[in-house]
Amino acid sequence: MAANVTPSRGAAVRIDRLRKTFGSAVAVDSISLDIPTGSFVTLLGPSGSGKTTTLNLIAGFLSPDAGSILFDGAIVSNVPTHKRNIGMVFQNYALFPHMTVFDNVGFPLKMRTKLTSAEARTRILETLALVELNGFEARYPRQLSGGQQQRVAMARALVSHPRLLLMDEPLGALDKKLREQMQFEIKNIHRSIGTTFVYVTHDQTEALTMSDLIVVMNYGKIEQAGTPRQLYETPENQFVADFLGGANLLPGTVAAVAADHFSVAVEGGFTVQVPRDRVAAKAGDAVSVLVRPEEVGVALTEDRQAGAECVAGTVTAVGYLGDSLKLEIAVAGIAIGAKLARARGFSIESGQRVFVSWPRASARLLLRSTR
Amino acid sequence: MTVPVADPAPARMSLNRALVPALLLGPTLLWIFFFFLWPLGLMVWQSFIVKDAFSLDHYASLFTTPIYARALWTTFEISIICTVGSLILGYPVAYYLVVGDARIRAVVMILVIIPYWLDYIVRSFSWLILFGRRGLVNRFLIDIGLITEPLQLLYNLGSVLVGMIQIMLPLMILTLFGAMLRINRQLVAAAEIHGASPWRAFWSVFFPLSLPGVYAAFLLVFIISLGFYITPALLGSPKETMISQIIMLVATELFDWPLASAAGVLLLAVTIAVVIAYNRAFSIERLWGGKEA
Ligand SMILES: Nc1ncnc2c1ncn2[C@@H]1O[C@H](COP(=O)(O)OP(=O)(O)O)[C@@H](O)[C@H]1O
Ligand SMILES: [Mg+2]
Repeated sequence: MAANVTPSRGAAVRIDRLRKTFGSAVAVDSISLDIPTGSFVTLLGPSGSGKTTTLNLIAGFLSPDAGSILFDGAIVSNVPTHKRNIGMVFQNYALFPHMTVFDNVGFPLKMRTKLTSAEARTRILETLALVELNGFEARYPRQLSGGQQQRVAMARALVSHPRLLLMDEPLGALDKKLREQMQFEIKNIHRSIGTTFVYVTHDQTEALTMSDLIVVMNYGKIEQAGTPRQLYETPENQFVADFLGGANLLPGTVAAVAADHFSVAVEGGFTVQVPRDRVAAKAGDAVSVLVRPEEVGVALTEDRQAGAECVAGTVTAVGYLGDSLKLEIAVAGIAIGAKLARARGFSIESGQRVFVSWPRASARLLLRSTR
Repeated sequence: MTVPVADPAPARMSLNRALVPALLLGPTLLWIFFFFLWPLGLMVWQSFIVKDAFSLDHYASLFTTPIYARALWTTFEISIICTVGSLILGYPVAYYLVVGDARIRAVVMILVIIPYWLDYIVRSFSWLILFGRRGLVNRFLIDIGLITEPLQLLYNLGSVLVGMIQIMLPLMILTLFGAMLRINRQLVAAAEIHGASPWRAFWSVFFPLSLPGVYAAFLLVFIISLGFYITPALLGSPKETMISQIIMLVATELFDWPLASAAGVLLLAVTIAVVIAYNRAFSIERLWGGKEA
């Protein structure tokens, strides 16, 4: 079994037309995906979108109905779970309650390697140091806080230097502050060890901060895969636009196509311009105009600038978030959200007439999906 | 400062607080007192009385008359073997009921539960039909020519154990099953993904986690076995006489109620001692770092 432990170079994982059904429910619907060696890939999607099922297929807990999974080019369909050389952090950690922290972390070494107990001890302490949890070796899991259990789970997953690390919403049970700290630490660990990480979350902020590659899933399908920047700035459809950060999606139809922009007649009666930017649409297509709330400016007086849209509306809701001010403005019957940073001293009330503007270049045209 | 206001609510609340438990528990407590504790007390009292005076004579005769001491020993011996046997046979079945294929699982569950519903006298009698000199087993063995004379399958330790294990098996299986259901199966998955083959994952994770259930089921089955009466009486020889049979014999044939009481008290005392010692040895709270979170 010792032969299974390769030096810690991450596996390149290829998922090829993978499909898994439970009865009549299609949990994973023929997805294909390339995960480069050593990368940090996040499966992002709402609950029930097939993230866990995908992870369980990679782990070998489930076998696919169709399609295949390859590690470094080799199909692993017939490789049982325990020989796949994977580490995994479970959502509820799944620490062995009858073993101490030391034995939990030592477990993969005992199963996979022929290290002497002194060598194993060194490795266990090293790994516990990596997750900053020295001094707790003799404790049992239930004597630890949630955050500490999380660290033990990380150490156990990493200790045998697996070529692939799977994490299923590992921070879901932690409070916000701890979660943010752990995001940072997990990212640091990833950078320092170079193993391939496949991370699952339904939290878009988490996905954006940590990932090299984000795979947005919905109803068992991949909606879009790309870098955080690509997904945020050039989403391909409404679902991705909406799931990654708040989005204003103004419904309308393409009125005219110019060389560098579309003119879109927004329902409610105003017309805006949107950059063309590789989107294929023709006059008459039903579309949505994506405008990020943080791109939206709000002013009490009309201030038309070149290269910006400006429409009049009425404030319908005001929310104070501390670091920003969140407004909802009704423009010709359509609600537009704005998130104003540095809003100190800016006082605005519900019912007030305002002018809403955004740079034309920041808007994006999305074909309205029929789903 | 708040102004004190007469408020009838707390008084009514505290009345309810006293009345509700009394109403809920009262009938049962009365029942237990009059039909269990009271006669039990009388029995204990009787066992210490000889000619209206306190005495340990009954206990002395229990320990000095070989037949009684032997029955007590036999009782323990048979109960231990019966419990270990049920555990060995029951554990794999309970495990299958937790992890196996859903459809087969349902069938197995029914097969386990049906005998549980049958009266154990009926179940003991059924072995007479099966194991008798002209029973099904002997006839079958003669028919296929393996033997010419019927075997003595009844009235020995083996037949008593077969009968008792058959009766205790459903209880053993269901108790283990209940405990195994509570084991988080994701832990087994965690063991496998971290390098344990299914076999090693079972022994390093599932089995140790099932031990509290094993301890509980073992104790339950053992204590019930101690009180067996009908099965050894029907399927055993005098060599397999258990303490309950002795108590019955002394009470109804010899009419020595005080001696029967003493034997009963002794069985009770030994049982309680076993429970206490057992709980000390296998205290779940001491395992794995304290109480369940
Ligand atoms: N063991 C199962 N049996 C039946 N349906 C399942 C099972 N596991 C998952 N599903 C279904 O498959 C879909 C995807 O589930 P899952 O992969 O757990 O989603 P996610 O992890 O993204 O929340 C869901 O609709 C879920 O109900
Ligand atoms: Mg999930």
